[in-house]
Amino acid sequence: MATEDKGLHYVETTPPPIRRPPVIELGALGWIKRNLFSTWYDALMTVISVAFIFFAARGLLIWVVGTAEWSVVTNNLRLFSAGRYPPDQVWRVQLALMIVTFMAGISWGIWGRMVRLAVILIVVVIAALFIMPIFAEMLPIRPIYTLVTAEGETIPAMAFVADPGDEITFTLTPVTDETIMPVGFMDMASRIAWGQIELERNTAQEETETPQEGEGEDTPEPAAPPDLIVHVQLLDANLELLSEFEAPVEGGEYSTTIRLPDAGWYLIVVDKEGTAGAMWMAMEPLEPLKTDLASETAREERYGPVPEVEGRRTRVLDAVYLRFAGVRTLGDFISLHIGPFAEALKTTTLILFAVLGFGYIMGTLGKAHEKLTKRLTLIGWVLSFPLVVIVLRGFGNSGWLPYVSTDLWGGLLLTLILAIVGIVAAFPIGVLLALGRRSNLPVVKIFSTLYIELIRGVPLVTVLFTAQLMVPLLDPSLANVDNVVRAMVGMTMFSAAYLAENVRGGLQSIPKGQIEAAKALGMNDVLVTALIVLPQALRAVIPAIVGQFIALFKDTSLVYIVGLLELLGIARTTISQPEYVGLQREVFVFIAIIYFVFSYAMSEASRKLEESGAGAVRRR
Amino acid sequence: MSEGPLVDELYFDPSEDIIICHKVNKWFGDFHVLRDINLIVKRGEVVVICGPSGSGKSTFIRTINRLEEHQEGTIIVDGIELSHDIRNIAKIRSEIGMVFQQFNLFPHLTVMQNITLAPMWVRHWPREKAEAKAMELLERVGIPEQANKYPGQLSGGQQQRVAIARALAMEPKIMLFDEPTSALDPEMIKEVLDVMLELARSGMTMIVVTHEMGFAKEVADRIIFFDEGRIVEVGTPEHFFTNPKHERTKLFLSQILH
Ligand SMILES: Nc1ncnc2c1ncn2[C@@H]1O[C@H](COP(=O)(O)OP(=O)(O)OP(=O)(O)O)[C@@H](O)[C@H]1O
Ligand SMILES: [Mg+2]
Repeated sequence: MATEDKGLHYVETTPPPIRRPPVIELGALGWIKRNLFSTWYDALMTVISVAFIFFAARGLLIWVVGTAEWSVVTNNLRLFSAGRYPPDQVWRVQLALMIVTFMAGISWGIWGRMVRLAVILIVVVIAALFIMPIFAEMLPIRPIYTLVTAEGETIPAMAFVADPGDEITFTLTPVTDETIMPVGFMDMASRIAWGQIELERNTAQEETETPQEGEGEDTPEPAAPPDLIVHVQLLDANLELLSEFEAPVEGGEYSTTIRLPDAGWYLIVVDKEGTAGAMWMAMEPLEPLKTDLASETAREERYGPVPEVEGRRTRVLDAVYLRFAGVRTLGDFISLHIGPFAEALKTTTLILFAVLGFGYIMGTLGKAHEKLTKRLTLIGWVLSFPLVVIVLRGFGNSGWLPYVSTDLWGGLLLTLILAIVGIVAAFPIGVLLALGRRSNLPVVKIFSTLYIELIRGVPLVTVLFTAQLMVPLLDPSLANVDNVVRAMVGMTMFSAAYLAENVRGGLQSIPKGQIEAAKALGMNDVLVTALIVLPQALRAVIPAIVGQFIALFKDTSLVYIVGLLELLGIARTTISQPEYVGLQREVFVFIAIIYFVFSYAMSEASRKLEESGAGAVRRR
Repeated sequence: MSEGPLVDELYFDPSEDIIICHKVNKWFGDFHVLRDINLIVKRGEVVVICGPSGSGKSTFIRTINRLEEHQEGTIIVDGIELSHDIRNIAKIRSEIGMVFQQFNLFPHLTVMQNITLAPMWVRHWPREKAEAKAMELLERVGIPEQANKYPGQLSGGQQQRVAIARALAMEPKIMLFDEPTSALDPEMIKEVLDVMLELARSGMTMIVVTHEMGFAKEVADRIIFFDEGRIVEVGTPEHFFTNPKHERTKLFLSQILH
């Protein structure tokens, strides 16, 4: 090896061999120890964080799976996606979406790489959308319950539809002190009555646990013995009696199954006698009927009008009259909410993914003539904007694409259109303003500076109101410009000012040497700016610009203030419908998820852009 | 001084003299950075400028392609007087190539794009012609295989050679070098100097700010010594290294040649 002379002289004779780095096997436990519990405060932080996540997530999960009423979302998907766009024209929104998806697919094919994760994600989504409804069908559904109490008001006649051969099973269970609330669909009156019973039960319990002074005088009279008798009649659509039975409280649980001979409406009429006691009546298998317009008309056509009995109200056992009560199991969650949601989305999603895949394949094939394909794709993108507008807006009163006023555009459609137009239009304006602010021409400089500072000095709401209300004052001919366009102008003006400041930051970050080198080569100011300064400046501020765009996307929610029904506006109108009262949590969580998905996709895309060659500011 | 037109008592011959500076003065605010600079450079001449830090060397050569404006005096380059006329400035800049201490390559463009950019956009050459020229120049500076890399992927010496090729692509009549080797590691200085040597021998008119005295000895026709914004001494390399006259020059040389 080496010759060593008491450490004073050293001459290398054989160089140490070049080796691969050692592999340090850590193992799962080792990793946990090193990363989570290396010191006592690390351990403490780990425990606290995990506990926090556990409690926060647990509460949320219980709500999401167990109690949240997601049908408000599923039933209103059309509203959320396109607002009041005429339902028979909604295919045009889908067509527009397909155009954009196709272009995205081609671009992915020609510019992007096959990302394994994205493919897996798509496959999983498609699989879930198809499996979930089937799975949901297989799961048993909960019965419909109604609570019959001796003191309660008359129960309305309950109407439902059946097909020949169907059966209905009634199960009446007396309510005792041990009875817990059944899990299933329930009308509001039953839920309130049950709340009353539980309340009385609790106060009674407290009184027995803490005996009060002056005992003897205050003891409540012993409750009257339950003597309720429930009398049920099943009528058919012609109000002919089909079957009837009586169930007394003392008789314990009573159950009977009745065959339903014909297709059509049936009525359940419940009468009761007695002064005390209560019974749960379960009816199964019976699903709450859907309440959307299409289902209602289909029902009317197939089964005729809803029959009515004299002397009492008739209620259809539908999704408005009944709500799920009690904590759902995961199975209930899937069959009640996930299944229908997936069902509602699956066709559109599948078509879109197919279009995306088709575009991707076209893009990949186009790689044979890369230059041409790229050029055509860019032209395609440019053309797709007017095309989408034509498809959505239409012209004339009749024919293929009847005119749809922009007042009717809403929901996610409007949100996306406002955001995209804002982004595309604000970008060049912002860049020009940034350049203007650094210009040597005093007029340009002063105008740019004033504009930027003025807009940045007022809230977006003010800009939107100005665009809506003041613009017509400037020039009466502008009064005809529709609201959506005005909102677009407002959004664009607003974000252009912020964008300009971001771009200015990028411009300032370019070293003087770059400009000098370009000038020394004989380039004039325009060339220096366009070829040297801007490309570098814009790359440097990609993260800031994307942040700005994400903010713009979310800020579109403010246009509901000027009366446009984009995603948030639709959310608010939805929860103001009587049948969805009290469901604002579900609705807002849902739109929050939508905002998040789009924002996250944007920031992820920007990260990819930064990492890719196109965005990397290379080290000097 | 040769026969020729009169520029404020200064005689020069436009067929032979390519750069004429007469009584050039410049201030940065109140600071008088260039004081009465007079200099005539002939076609094909190689002039080396040296002098202590802050003496105004960079400022002077930057006034020649008007990266800095002078406030008094006359500068005539290839028969065109430098004035506020933008057309003159653009014309002169495309006649003069410049190489900077910090290379100043465009980091967002490949080597090839760095070199072809100005010929295509300023001279309006077709891409094929610009790329052919670029390849020829990359061969000349010895790095044809780096054409498709980005500047960040090259060593300092390679970057500076690309910068020289980029300047040469405009087919300039004059090349200005501002301390082209001072940002380089010793091992890379030679590869850059070799390129400059070859360029000097090919007959290019060059003004080089450098402290590389070996280079100066070998190729300079004249050496100019700057101090405190003025030209203190001018002479041939022999004169300069064997028999400097001015005290300031002697001091400087004793320091630089240890
Ligand atoms: N843009 C400017 N504004 C104000 N002062 C400047 C500017 N540029 C240079 N100076 C000053 O002018 C003087 C000459 O600078 P210059 O860069 O020409 O010196 P130099 O001889 O090239 O020195 P070095 O060898 O350090 O490069 C210095 O004192 C410098 O501080
Ligand atoms: Mg200098």
